[in-house]
Amino acid sequence: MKMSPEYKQTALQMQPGIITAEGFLGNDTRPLVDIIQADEEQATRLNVEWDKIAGHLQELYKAGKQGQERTIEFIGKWNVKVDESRGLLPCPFKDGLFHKHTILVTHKPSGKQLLFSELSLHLLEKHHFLQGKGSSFRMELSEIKTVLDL
Amino acid sequence: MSLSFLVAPFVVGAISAVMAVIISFIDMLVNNYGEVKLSINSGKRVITVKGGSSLLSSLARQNIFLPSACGGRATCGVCKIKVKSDVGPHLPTELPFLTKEEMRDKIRLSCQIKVKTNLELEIPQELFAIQKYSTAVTSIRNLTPDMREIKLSLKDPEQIDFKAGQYAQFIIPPYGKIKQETQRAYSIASGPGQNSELEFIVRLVPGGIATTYIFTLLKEGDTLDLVAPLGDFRLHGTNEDMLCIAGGSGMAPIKSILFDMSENKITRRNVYYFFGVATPKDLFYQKMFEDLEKKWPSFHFIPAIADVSTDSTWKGETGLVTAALENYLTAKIPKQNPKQAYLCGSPGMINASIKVLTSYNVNQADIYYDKFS
Repeated sequence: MKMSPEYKQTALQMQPGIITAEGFLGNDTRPLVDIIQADEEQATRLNVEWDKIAGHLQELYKAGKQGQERTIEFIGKWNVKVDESRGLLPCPFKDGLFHKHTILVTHKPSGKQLLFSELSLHLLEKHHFLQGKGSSFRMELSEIKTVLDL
Repeated sequence: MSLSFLVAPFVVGAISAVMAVIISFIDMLVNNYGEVKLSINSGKRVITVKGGSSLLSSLARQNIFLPSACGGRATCGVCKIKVKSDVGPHLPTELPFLTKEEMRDKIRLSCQIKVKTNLELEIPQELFAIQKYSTAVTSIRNLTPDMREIKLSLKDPEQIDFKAGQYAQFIIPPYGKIKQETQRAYSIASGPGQNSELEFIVRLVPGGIATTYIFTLLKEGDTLDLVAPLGDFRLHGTNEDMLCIAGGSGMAPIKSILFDMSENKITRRNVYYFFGVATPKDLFYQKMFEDLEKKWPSFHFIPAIADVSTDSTWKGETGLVTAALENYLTAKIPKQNPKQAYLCGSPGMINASIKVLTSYNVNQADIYYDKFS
C-alpha cells in the first residue's frame, strides 16, 4: 500500500537511533502501513479487539507499578514486573510522551511471557502498531491472546 | 548506433540538477538569519551567534550549557529559559512541560526555540558554572547484572567544582546506526572532595541509546565528554534526622551526599539510609556502607530486598523499601526528632515513600527528591 507523507515521516522516526537505539521496525522490510494492515487483518482473523487487549494490558501495567520493580502476582493468573528508567520517549506518531517503563507479564498457566513498554502499549492502543518483525518489543497477536487468556 | 535513448534521462537529470540549485539558493535566502545577538540578564553579557539553530545549541556553542537530559529532543523538559523577547506562541512540543505560570512568565524550552532574531534572555547565574569536560574512562565495573559503575578521569578541564547530589550529562557519540550525538543525565556517585575523577552508576535500559553504548561499546581508556554540574538535589539543613531512600541506580546521588558528609565530619545527624532492591543479586555496595556505619555511629544502612526466595541466609529487611521505612518509623527512629527525607529512584517508589513519610508527620517541604522522570 502507498504510504502517505505522514506515515513516511513516522517511519523515519522509527529508524534506529532516532527515538531508541534499535528503532521500532526490527528487520521488517515492509512499509509501515503494510505492517499495521497485516496486524489488523490478523486481529480480525483471531477475533481479538484492540481496545480489549489494550484495556487488559493497561490493567496489568497499573497493577505491576505497585510492585516498585518487584514481581507481583495479579489475580493469581499473572506475574507482572515493571522496570522504570529515567526519562521519557516520544511517540513516533508525535502524539505523546511516555515513561521509559518496561513491563514483563508472565501468564502462569502457560509460562508464556509478553514484554512491552509504556510506549508500545500506546502504539498498540492508538495506532494498532505492534512494531516490525525482529524488534525487541514486537508483540505477536497470537502471543497476546495466549498471555491474556482471550 | 543511435544514442537517442539517453536524451530523455539526460534532460530529466539536468532539470533535476537545476531545480536542486534553485531550491538550495532559496533555502539559503529564506533560512539565512545572519548573525543574531543574544542579550543575557539585561545586557550583562551579549553574545553573537549564527542564526538558524536552536537556542539550546546556540548557547552551548558559546559554552553556556542549560540543563538538558535529552539533548534537545523535547522529551525531558529540563532546558527551560526565560525568553523576554517575542518568539511566538508556545509550541505543542513545549506544552507538556510548562505550567500556566511558567507560560505567563515567558519560560520556554530552549531546544524548541529557533534563533532567528536578536533575543533578550534571563539565565540564572549558577548555570554559568556548567562546563563541558573531556574525560577518560578509568574503570568499568559490573555491580549487578544490569548495573555498572563507571569512573571517569577529568582531562580538560582537569577538575570540577560540584555539590554532592548533582548530575552530569554524558555526550554519547554517534555509533552504529545512530547518526547523531545523544545526551543523557546520570547522577554523580562520588563526593565533591574527589574533584578530578567522577563515579557514576548506570543501569541498562533495554533499547536505550546511551546505555546500550555504555554497556556494549564503552571501554576503559576511551574518552567521553560530559557537561556538568547540573541539578539542585543536595543536602539541606544541619540538625534534622535524615531519612535517605533509594532504589537501584538512585543509589548514586545519595552515596555522593553521604560520603561527602562523612569526609567533612558532618556526622552528628542521625542518618537512616534505606536502599531497596528486587532480589539479592541486585544488591551492591553493601560492604562499603557497612564500613561507613563502623566509622559513623549515627549512620544506619538498611538494605531491603523485595524477594529473598533465592537467599535463605538473608537476615535484613524484606519486602518493599517502603515497608522497611515504615517499620523503622514505627519502632526504631525517635519520633520527637525533626526529620528530612532524601529520595531517589523510580516515581512509584518515590510516591509510595512520600505517602509513608507524610503519614508519619514528615513535612512535605522537608522531603527532597530526584524522580527518575
